[in-house]
Amino acid sequence: MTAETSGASLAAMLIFGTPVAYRIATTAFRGKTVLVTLFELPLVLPPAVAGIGLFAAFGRTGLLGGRLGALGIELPFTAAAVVMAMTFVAGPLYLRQAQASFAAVDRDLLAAARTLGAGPWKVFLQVAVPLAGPGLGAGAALAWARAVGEFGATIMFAGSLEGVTQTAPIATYLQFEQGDFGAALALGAALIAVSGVVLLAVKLIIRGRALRFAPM
Amino acid sequence: MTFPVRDFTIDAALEVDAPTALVGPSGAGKSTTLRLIAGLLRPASGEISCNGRTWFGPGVDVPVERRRVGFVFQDYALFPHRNVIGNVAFEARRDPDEILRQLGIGHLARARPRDLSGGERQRVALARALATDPQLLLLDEPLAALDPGTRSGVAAELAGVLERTRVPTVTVTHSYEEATMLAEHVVVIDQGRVVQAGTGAELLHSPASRFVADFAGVNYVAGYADGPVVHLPDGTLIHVGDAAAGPVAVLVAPWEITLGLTPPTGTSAMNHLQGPVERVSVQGNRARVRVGGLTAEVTPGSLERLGIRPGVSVVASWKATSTRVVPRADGRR
Repeated sequence: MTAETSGASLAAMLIFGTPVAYRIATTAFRGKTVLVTLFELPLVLPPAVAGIGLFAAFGRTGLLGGRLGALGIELPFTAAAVVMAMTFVAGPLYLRQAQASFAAVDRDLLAAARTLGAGPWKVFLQVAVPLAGPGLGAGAALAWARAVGEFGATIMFAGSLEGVTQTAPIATYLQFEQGDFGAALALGAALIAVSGVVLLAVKLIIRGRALRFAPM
Repeated sequence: MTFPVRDFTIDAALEVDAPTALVGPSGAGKSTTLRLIAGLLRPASGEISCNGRTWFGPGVDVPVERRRVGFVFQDYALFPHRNVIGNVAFEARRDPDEILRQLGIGHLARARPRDLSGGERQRVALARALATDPQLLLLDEPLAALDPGTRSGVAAELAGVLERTRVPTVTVTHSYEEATMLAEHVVVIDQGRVVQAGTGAELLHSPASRFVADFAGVNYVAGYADGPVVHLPDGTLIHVGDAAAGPVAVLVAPWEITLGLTPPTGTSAMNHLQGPVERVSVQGNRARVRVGGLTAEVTPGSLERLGIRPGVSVVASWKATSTRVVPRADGRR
């Protein structure tokens, strides 16, 4: 359950966040600061507030929820809601890191690719992304870890339906509250182990790549 | 075209029909001009066209990737995540292997950029630019990243390659020697404006200003001409070969000036200027000695024989026929 939703959330962050971060890092446009602040806002919000916000926007009586409901789409208390909550809270972590990684890429390399005749997408995919790769990987690992641990926004917006929206952290909390300390501890230990292994793997991959690209 | 930068506005009109060098001091706007031509920067106004096709003008702004310029960056900007052949094959329209062979770097195809020497990197950057079969080749200080020892050798090779490829080139440099090696047409830029344009020999022979004279390495002394003599502001008289009148500059090449410890006797040289040596610099088999605002070029052997070093009083002598007199546009001073 947690693996699927956090995986989907990570995929959403990578697919949408990477080009947005590249655009923000490499171009100047009006309202950039405002936009970046808006993206970073979920970082400083208490997750419960983020959950309330999502509910207010997409809940049955929410700003967009009514219209979605008319189309037969209901988000709250579904797996999609879990993914949304995770992305909302963890996405900015990835976006920030990706933006910094793209900003650190030598602009002349991007310029060189363009003078050679590469269009914007080729420059992005074949020059910017490989060169920002280690940083993107680190950002993805952090964001994924944050998504796995997501609690506040998820429980507000997606609830805790066993097998549907009950993620591992929420299950841990519920077991604990029901007095089953042993089960809560076991779940917690499993979470720590999985997160630790994934983070370690990402770090090793990044180090290998960083060595390969090390300047001179 | 015009383009505002920090302290001034670049306002340059260039016509490139022969290999051209853009020269001038750091911050003169040379590299910016090159980036404007390539489309990496957008001019505030003006027009850029190449082979009859407008790249920039009213309502036209062809994106960089469709201008087909070959751009060699100052630090070469090789893709660190690709090997040499991977760099050259990126968007290549010609056979990358063939180009590497032509430039004598076929054996480096599998090497990573970070394992190459400066001269090799420069050739890879050139190969990558030529592989796209460009209509115009732009080189931004192509020799600046090299150490002085290898620079002249690489410059000669580069000159040979540019001559063979027959692609029109614009090279940015701040060295007169490099400019004359790599281009027929030399355009001097200062503060974003074209100060003078011509062949290297023309600039050396009749520099339009002290700035151009300094750049070409010829002594430029401002004064007032009165027939066969020129009066300097400090009262010194300089005998010149050509009679003139009014504000002029006297030009003397450094290698026409001889140095002695005492005023020479029994010589045909009519001009003598005594003063302490201000500066001495030795480059290879030439020593440049700065005395009384002039630069004299002698051999390091002469330096040693005469004991010339900063502070020693010397006499600089040269013949009236070694001088040239050019009118000064700036009037007084």
